[in-house]
Amino acid sequence: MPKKVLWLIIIFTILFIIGVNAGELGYLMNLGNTICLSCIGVG
Amino acid sequence: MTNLRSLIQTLMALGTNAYLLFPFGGSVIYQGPLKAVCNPGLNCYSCPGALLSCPVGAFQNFMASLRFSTGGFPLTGAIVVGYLGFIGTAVGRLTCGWVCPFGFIQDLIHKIPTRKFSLWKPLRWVKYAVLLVMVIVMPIFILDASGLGHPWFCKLLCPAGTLEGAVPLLLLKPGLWDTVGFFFWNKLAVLILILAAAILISRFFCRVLCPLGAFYSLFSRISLVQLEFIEGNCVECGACLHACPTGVVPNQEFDSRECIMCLKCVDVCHFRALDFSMRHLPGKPAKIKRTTSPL
Repeated sequence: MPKKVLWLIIIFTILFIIGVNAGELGYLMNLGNTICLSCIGVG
Repeated sequence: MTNLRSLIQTLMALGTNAYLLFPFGGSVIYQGPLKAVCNPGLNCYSCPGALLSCPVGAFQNFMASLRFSTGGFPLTGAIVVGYLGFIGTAVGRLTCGWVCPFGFIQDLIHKIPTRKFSLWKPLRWVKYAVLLVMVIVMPIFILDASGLGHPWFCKLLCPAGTLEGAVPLLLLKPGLWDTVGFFFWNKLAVLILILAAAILISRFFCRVLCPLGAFYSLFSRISLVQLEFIEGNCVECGACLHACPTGVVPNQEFDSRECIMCLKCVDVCHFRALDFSMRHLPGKPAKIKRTTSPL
């Protein structure tokens, strides 16, 4: 596997872990649990 | 291969929209823990059946709230970028061809028998502008009177949101009709235009407007899977060109960012000049164009 691909996989994994530790999972869940008014075209 | 792809597309579309209790719950949409996971394809999370979140909608909301992060580590959408980037690095736009529910819808409606047209190729660049402007720049910088950003792609353009979210929700919750205005009618018009275009031009939305496809295409030339062209076997019959839903000429641009790895070209090639393979396998050269047949 070329280094470029390996580095990308490492970088994206780190980004994912940073996101999880920053509390983004909870934010994502709150977001998904409410009807998206923008998607519907309200507001 | 085509039948297998259709089966996987069907299973993914139904499996990720498998919440059947929406008519009985007060909230109409699924509110369980799976909503913390993004769908790898474009699928509105306000669809009453949706089990997963929409990656584009989620990322825009992260961008829209970037300025309001207070205390602790700012919420930058790193989780979405990491998740999508990992998928992109692993399989590139194969996600578009095999998994994306809205891509599947376009595949289905393109079967409607009418005269078909090809796409003016420069339009393929528009999706990168949509990704940059509507998904990243506008949610950060265009704020409403209360200082909040908005998911502008969802608000102005997203046909999946209108088809899977707006239309069913307005039918299920008639009270919402009182609140619809310009944005809804605009999106309905956009949806009709996109669906009409997808009937006439194969995968119109994926090729021209989809920001998720634009993101995945950044990984097309390095992802772990690839379309392999064996030049020695090609007789230039053009069968692959006619089969390709995204207008790629597989025997010339086999490494194209537009390729969604549907493998229709592999199916129609009777000379085994095209194949699906893993890139970067140990003992295998990294190049993806072989000049002699492996047979």
